[in-house]
Amino acid sequence: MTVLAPSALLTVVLMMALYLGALLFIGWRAAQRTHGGEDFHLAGRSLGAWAAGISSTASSESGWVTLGAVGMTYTYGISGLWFAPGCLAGYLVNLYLVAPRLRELSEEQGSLTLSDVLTRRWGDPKHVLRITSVVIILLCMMGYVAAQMTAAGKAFSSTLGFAGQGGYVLGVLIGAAVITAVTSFGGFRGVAWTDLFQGLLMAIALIGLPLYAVAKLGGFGALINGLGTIDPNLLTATGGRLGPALWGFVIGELGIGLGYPGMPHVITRYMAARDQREVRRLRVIALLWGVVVFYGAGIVGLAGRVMMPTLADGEQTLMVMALKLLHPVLAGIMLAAVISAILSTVSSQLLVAASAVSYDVVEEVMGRTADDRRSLVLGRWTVVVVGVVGVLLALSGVRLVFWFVLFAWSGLGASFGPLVLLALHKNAVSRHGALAGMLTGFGVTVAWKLGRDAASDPVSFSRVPFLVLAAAAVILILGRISERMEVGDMAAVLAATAVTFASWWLVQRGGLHNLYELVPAFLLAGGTTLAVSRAFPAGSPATGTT
Amino acid sequence: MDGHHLTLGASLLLWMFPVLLTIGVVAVALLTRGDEEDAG
Repeated sequence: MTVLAPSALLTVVLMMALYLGALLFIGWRAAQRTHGGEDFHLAGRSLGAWAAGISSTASSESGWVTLGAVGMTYTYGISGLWFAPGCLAGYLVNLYLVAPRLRELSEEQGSLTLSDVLTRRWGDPKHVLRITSVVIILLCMMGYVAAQMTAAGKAFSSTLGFAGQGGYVLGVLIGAAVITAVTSFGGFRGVAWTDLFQGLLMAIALIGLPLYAVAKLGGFGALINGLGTIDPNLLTATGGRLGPALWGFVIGELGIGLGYPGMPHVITRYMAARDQREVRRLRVIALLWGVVVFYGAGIVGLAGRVMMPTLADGEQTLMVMALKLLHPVLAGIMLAAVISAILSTVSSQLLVAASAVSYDVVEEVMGRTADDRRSLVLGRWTVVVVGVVGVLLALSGVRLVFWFVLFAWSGLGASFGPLVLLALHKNAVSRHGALAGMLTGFGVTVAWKLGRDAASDPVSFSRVPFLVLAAAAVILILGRISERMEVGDMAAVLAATAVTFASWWLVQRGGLHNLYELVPAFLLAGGTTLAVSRAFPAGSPATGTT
Repeated sequence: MDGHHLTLGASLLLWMFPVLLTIGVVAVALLTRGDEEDAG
């Protein structure tokens, strides 16, 4: 990071303080309008198009968009932009195939969380589907929350000039304290409103900075010439890649989009939209936001490569460029936008993890049905507990937690994405099929990901069969002891185990190392869901959709 | 300009796709707005 003069640093610190103050103020205003359980978990289904639309997109794009995506085009040039059509295709699926039907179905059912939607769709007398979905959500979300808190800590400490490990700890604590307070008091409404504020900040930064940078370079012609002079491959859609490496790269980047329908913290925003008219309006808002943010980030990376071709880490481009080019007040806004991308995701994930515990486990599985007031109090305290656990995980650096982050996007996308689409558009699925789909999505993600990394980590890859067998045995034994599982559920576990094994074999023998794990995991999860549903049709949906 | 230019694929990726997508989404929204009002 660029070392700032003390007066400039003070200005940046003041801008950060203003930004955090604004988040707390919005959270406080939201808390005044949050009176019960449905308010806390789903904002009383009252969100307008702007809050629901931008909250859904800001939640889905973590610090990755302001750091990683910028780094992609900095490093690979125009070919680094392949992620953008992939992500926007995911937006299209969510906004046109998921949002309207999900809002309608969840209102009909009276469901408050994604697990709630799936279990009420297929019936779940012994809570097998609910428990399985909650375990997958918590495994992925807690790792995600801890990783995002780590990123927030690093961003705060480098922005505010805190030094050493103490500075990092302080950075984590500031970010976590503010966002946990906002989420706990404001609930879903607080998260959605702060997401709207932060999402707009991101859009302003990713419109303003690239335009300014390109103008500073002398226009798009100068940008293209500059890139071509550094390396002609920076100007091609293939980036100089050939054969399987090219197709693996392109399919992988486009495949990122498959994850969107399975993200609980994203699609619950559609459930909270006030009515179908707001859903229609939010489509345009969310898509335009996506176009601006993805292409803005991409152009920042391209311009950064020409302006500062020797950066050690391309992911720092936006922050370094803001500090070098802009007045400290504007640089402060840009840095707040970087941190916004992280915190808007943390708050949404925190709420999903807390709702999974307080609503799905305590209220539904354990049957502690509380009145509306007690449900609100329980939700608030659960957010605090999950936030504290997230901070402890972030500070302790437990390796296993960060290991799950590697699978979080693909794991959630493959476990829930096919099911959400099938739940909304097909009647030919049974609850046993749904269980098989969730387990297959998660299992294949882990096996395939470890298979792709086998060259660098052969030990983990060789342990996959034991991991899969152990997980299947634990699920079957627990299902048997608790008398929750029927024959169809056991068959679902066995089917998921077999498909996971097959994928492990395939990635090892089939030379498919270049293929991003979400693509096969998504397809195999969907296929296994339909196959098991056909074999065990009991538990078909109670309420049909067309 | 000193001869560097973009291929069709790179142009598509860099600006044609986002522009066409934006035009398409806004056009669909405008065209279906009337249906919505009729339904309302």
